[in-house]
Amino acid sequence: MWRFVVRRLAFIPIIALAIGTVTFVLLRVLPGDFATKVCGQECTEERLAELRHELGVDKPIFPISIQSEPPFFHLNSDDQYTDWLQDVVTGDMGTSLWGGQDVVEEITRRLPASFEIMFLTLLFSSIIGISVGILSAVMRNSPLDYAARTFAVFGQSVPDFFLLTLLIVIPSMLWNYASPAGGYVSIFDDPWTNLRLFVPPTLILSVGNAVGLMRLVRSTMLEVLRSDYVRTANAKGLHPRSVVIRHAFRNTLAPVITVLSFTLATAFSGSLILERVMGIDGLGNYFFQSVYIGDLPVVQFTVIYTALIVVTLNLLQDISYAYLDPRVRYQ
Amino acid sequence: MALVYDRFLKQRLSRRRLLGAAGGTAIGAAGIALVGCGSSGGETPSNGSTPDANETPTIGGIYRTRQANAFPSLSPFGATALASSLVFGFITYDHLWYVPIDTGEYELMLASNLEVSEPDGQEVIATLNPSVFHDKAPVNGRAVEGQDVVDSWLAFRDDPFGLGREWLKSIMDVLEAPTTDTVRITQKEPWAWMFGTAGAGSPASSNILPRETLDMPDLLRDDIIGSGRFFLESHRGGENLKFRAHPNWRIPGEPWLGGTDLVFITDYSQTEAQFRAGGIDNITFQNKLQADQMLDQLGDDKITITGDLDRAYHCLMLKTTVQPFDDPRVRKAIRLAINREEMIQLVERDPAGGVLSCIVPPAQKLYALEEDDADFQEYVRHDEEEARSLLEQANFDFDKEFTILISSPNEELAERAQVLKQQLERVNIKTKIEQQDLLSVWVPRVLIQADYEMTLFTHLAYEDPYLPLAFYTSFSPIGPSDPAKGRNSMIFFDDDVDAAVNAASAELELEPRIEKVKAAQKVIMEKEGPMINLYASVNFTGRHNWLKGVITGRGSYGLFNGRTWIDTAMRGS
Repeated sequence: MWRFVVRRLAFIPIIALAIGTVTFVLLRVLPGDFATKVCGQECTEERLAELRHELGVDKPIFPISIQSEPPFFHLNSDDQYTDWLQDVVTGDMGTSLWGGQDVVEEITRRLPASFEIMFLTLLFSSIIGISVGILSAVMRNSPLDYAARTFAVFGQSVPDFFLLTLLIVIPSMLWNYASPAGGYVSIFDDPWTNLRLFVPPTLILSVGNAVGLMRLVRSTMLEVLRSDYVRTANAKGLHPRSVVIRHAFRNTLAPVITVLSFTLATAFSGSLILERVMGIDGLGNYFFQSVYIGDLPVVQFTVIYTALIVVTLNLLQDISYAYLDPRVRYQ
Repeated sequence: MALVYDRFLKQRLSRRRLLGAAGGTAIGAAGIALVGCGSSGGETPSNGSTPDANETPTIGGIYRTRQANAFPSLSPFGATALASSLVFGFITYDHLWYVPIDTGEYELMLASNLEVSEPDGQEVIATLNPSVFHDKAPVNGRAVEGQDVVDSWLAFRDDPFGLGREWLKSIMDVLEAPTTDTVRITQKEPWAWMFGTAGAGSPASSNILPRETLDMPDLLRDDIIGSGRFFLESHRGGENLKFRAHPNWRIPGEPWLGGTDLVFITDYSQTEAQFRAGGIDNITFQNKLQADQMLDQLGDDKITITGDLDRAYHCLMLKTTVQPFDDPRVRKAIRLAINREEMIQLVERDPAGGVLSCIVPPAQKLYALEEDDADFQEYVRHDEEEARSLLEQANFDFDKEFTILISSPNEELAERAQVLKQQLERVNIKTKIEQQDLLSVWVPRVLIQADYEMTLFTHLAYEDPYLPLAFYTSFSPIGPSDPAKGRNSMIFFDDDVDAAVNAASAELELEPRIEKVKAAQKVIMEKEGPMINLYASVNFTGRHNWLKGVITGRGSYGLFNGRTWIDTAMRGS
């Protein structure tokens, strides 16, 4: 087990590096040059060259350049990729090109808002998806089951941004109600405002994930409920609730955990939509704005941050399999 | 008062006249949003006397309004300075004087008196009101001095990134502070627009900063220190800026507001929701229909809807180095293809939602061409058949697809672009629409560096016709600079246009200047100037009735009313 964990941990920086490198390359092949954008009214070729030099974008992109003539390769003594790698290794994420703010500080400041959105989305998805899924399986073909399945189709069909817009418009039209505006309020500073700000939209955001989870739980549960050991448990006279929760449900958890880890990864993109629509200054909004304006350091490091979160969660998911299902052993 | 100054004042539209002009098209509605009136500069109260003047004002209410864009930097210098200066420059910075867009008459602010030389008005001596900066390090509330004005303006002049610096660079000759409380401004030549936004009244380059902060870019990026009515209390990465009343503001007892909160809201439906719920105190509607619906829902006992003809105007700009926009026949064809009336109906949702615009927008009634003028009629004429014929004559490439760049977030502009795209399609011109972030991409790339083919946008509100004319000249305030030809964002250079606009600027007498401005417009129209002006909207805005002391017609809230107040008992907070 420990060898498995160590091996997976060793892979995390490699995956982060690979994702970071892909992002690094993609951002540099995009048309448009940041120096040109900010060069200003009195821009001259000299000023543009100075700016490119200051930003370090006048250097070759990679340590090796390809040439059309022998020896076909040229080693660059100073290049953007090596600079970037050094920054990543030393933890120096630089400053935002537009505002000049420290990227780590900006990301750290925005992380709580995005984290809360992702956490609540995951929480609501799990509660709704698992509980309704179990009930739907146990009460198969009942009115509740039909209602849940109909809701699942609805939930998977309607896009998040539409539901979020309705969430804003309907209470506003009916009751002149609007969620608090003006940025992120910490739950520790003002719990009521924080919950008013985050709970309704994350409930909406979790609908899409919850219905997917619900369908998975239902189908897995139905399969498990037909298995021999459940029949044995029932034959032993165990209380039906105990059979479902202690015996059947535990064996549906492995695929559920897999789906939940995907849910968390997609919650980041959901968080981006939610933050845009609701005007919350979280990581998603920052990321969106930075991609929009071509703020390279912010985009690069936000992608790496996100990748690290997802990879770490995948590791935790794999480890949890072993605890949830004794048949799974990592050797 | 000096003769030239008197002349300057007389050339302005009277408030009554402007509102009369607006009322004709805005169904009698009077004015736009917030902000008050008045000579706010001295020790006497700002004369923002209000319709509710018989009530006892509540002091200390916090005014809340929408902030649609984040500010990457708060600095008044650099690539994003124009937007930040326009949004909060007048809230927190002082200016010697300002020119409210409704009256078009200068009003003193930091200056208590202006002495203008006879007879050419080339020298102006401003005496400053006793004022102190906000109490923040490293300034710590020290007195404002003439040298602060001088150093600030020179820093704006030397800022390589900024917009609106033309007067500082080309017309201003000497700027000095003979004493701690005076500033002497000398111009190289008499210039009719000196006091306006094109000159020394530019909101983008007349902010007054403490001189010791001018070489502190980190401080300027993250904080604002000025001597205006409100100081910056806090913000989160350029969003949700909170301003609070300057405790040592030079007018005793003012401002009546305790502060101003800019609430970061990107989405329009969220803006409407916040307004309904009272989360923000005012709203700018996208069209009359939305204004009417809001009034139906909330009732006039709760909100007041106003509307007035905007000094801003919408236009389509073509870059003449992009083939075939260098051909005047193609530009004319595009002009003829645009059906402005249809655009107003579709975008503004009401025929009364806009007024056709020629080169000088209709709100500048003194200088704008009359609607029955034959040249005006020709400029706004719609004829698809003739447009197609002209395109064929010009061997227009109907397979080529052009990109119309627009800034975002701006849903109304996106709608206007969609209508334009469809109208151009009717004459077989293929286009696609691309959105760019306003502050960080569209302004620097399109407006400053002319990196576009076609762009649809809304001009800012100008109180005199200099800028609407100058955009067609080689001394345009925007666009890339060509050492040989000059500066123009459409890469459009024409000696006749330059001469006509210069003639108007050099004319200090009112009546001849009006004629010269009209003549310059006709030259631009004859040359098929590549910025095709469409129309000016009638702006519909709403405010909760707890927001009091509002002088309608004044434009942006930030402009100077120390006597706007919130009836906190009515609002409940």
